[in-house]
Amino acid sequence: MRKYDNAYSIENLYGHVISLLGQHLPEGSDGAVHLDIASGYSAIGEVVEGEFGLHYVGVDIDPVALKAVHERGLEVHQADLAEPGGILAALTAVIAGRRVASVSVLDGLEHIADGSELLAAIRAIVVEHGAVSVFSLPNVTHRDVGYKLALGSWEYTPTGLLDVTHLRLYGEKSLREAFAAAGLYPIGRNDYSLAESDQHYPAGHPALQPGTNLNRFLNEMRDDAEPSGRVNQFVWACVAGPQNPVRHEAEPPGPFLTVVIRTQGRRIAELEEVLLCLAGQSSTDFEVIVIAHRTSVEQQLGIEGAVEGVPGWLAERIRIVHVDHGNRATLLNTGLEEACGRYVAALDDDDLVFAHWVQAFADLELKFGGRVLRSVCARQQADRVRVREADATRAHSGITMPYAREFSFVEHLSLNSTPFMSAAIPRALHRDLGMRYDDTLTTTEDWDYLLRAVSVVGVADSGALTAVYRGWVSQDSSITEHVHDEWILNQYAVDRKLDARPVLLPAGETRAIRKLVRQASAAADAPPPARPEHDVEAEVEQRTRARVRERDDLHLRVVSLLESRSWRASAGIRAVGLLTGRGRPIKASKVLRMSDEQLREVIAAIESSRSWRITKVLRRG
Amino acid sequence: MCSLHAGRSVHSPRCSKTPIGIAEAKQLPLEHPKDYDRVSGATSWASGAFSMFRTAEFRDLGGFDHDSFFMYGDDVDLSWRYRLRGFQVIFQPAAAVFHDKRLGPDGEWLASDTERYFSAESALMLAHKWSRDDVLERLLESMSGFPDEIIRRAVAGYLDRRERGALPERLDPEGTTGEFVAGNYAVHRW
Repeated sequence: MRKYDNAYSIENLYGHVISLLGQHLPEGSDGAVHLDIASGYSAIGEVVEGEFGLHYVGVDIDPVALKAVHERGLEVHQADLAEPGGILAALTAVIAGRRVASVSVLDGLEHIADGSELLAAIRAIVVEHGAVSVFSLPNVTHRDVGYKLALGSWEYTPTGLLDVTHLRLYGEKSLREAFAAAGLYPIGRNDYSLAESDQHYPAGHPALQPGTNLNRFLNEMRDDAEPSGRVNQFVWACVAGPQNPVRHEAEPPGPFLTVVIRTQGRRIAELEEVLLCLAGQSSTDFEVIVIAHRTSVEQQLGIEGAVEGVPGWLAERIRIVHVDHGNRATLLNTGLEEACGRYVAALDDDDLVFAHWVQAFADLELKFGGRVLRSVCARQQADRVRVREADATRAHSGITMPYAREFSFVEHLSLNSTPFMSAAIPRALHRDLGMRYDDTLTTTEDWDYLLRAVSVVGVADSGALTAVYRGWVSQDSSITEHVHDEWILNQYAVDRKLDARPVLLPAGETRAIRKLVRQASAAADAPPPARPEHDVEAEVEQRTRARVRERDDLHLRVVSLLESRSWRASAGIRAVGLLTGRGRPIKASKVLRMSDEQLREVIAAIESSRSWRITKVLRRG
Repeated sequence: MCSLHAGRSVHSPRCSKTPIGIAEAKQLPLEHPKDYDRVSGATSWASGAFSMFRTAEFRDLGGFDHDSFFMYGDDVDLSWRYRLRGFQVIFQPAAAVFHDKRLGPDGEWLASDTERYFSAESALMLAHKWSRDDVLERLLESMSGFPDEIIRRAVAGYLDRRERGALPERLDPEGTTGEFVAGNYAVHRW
């Protein structure tokens, strides 16, 4: 077969082109011209005429191909479309005053070093005739090409994605930019996808072979980052619009940190306190985005009033963004999209931060830029009062330190010890890897994101106490609005997500796993004596599984009790330690290391405690 | 006027018609633990970190006692003199002010030598000035045995002043105004 002489099939690229063309062909096109540029062997010629009643006209430089097509009874013309200066004139001569309904360039643009003049000529024809244009182009960012390139391999081939004659290589982003610069805009697409492209070799390549950990990991990352990893050829239908050349300038320098504050406008006094804390920051290298969620006019005015009350230098850096849909994760995603900072940190509208909250993150960035930056958060019970006719908050307890000072990925798999205000996330995770908050989660969206983020970029701990997470004694807060059953369901969802994909562990975490396994082994009951009539291995396995299930249940029960609305509304986590006679508050991270007996003690102590009984009314359902 | 007694809670809302001498704003991110009335805001003393008072009354009371208190305790002393004169001291949590205080990584106070010295000295001076010999004796006894040399130096400084007759004039001979509760100058909420 001659090079590029590929027959039409409904299933192949040409079938995709015809299907797309059929969807977007202008009304009343019967008898009009379909101009096929870089037509080669005109694989779609007869189909265009037969299916749509168009008159096919092919244009190419290759005399051999043109002769072959001409012999099939199709109209063809020879023109050098790579020669600058006369492309539109040449095409106008070919059209010769006839009405054009559609234009196609199938796998042709990549053979031209600078296709801008050809695209401009096509746009002119599309505008003049009210025509539609259809393009196909090989995708150089196909997974097979990308994975091999990442591992040091780049191989041209006689045809295919890395055809040796290709002069310009396109991915989705660069193709959109080239079209926009010429004034062409996609209105439909019918991409031709191949899980295994012509670059899917050598056989068994660990990055390409389906089912390998590496392949699954790369696929997960790639799918989040950009959706066209399996696209072999882009097949797009375009119409004309304004010419919008893309300037490839560096992103304007933003601040170090974008602070995203979620609010429903129901806690204005608390919001004012958050903003006050930001006004007191020793580092002012930040901007603030206040996300107002489903607010009434009165609540919006309250938020605007709170913003107007801050010092001028801070007010200038605050943007209020209204969101009228979605959940907590939606708001964070909006914050990510709006952010200009290198890092993004989220505050709820009742959090408090110390003067070095931003500075501690900024100091970490100098040494560990690119990682998730983490500081330490304290917890404090608080209440609301009305003093001399003015609404206010009132600290109800001293601060406690229930959260781990140093981050452990393994421990965070079972328990989140990083309230979100104590982490700053690199914005590049969203910008470059497409990492978004999971809006199917109604709680724990921050935990889920943190685990995914840390897995990819790692974490740097400052060890500094820089924030206070307030639990409300008598009224709801963002976390206590959700009943514990819902919380458990969300935790299961996070678990399932983690279990469904390969996870990259930060360095040092295997040591933590070994430690946990050894502890569990040491704590496990000795297996029963072997009995010849039994399958000992099966019995041990059965008992082990039962133990693991039981321990998981105990962990979940403790975690859900500690996070429950009624428990937080009562004496606080530290009381658990007192109740169980250890005299010290429980650190959330310690729950993981407790024996089964200790876990049962904690559960019994909470459920029999006076505060638990008193707050029974808070446990819905 | 409201009367306050050592170890008892702060004023009740019934005192709301008593003129206000000092109004204190709430400090953030670390709120001071001293108790205040949840309706009237009445409290034992107002922190000098951010308080407001009328100039005339302040001058009439003689201002801060800078001879007795180099650092710390001067605000407690001023507050109690207002109360002795029949004014209320009010804490208004709706007025918030940012005070750059920081804690250690485990949530502990990081007191400097200067802070420890002058805190100890002011405790002794307050007990003396506000006619609480019982408190003074307990403080002298416990501080003298402190392992922290800074505290023992503060005790020595106090005793030197006493020997030199450089202590301030004592106020409130009945000792009913000043509050000395578990080492604090008010009932604390936690």
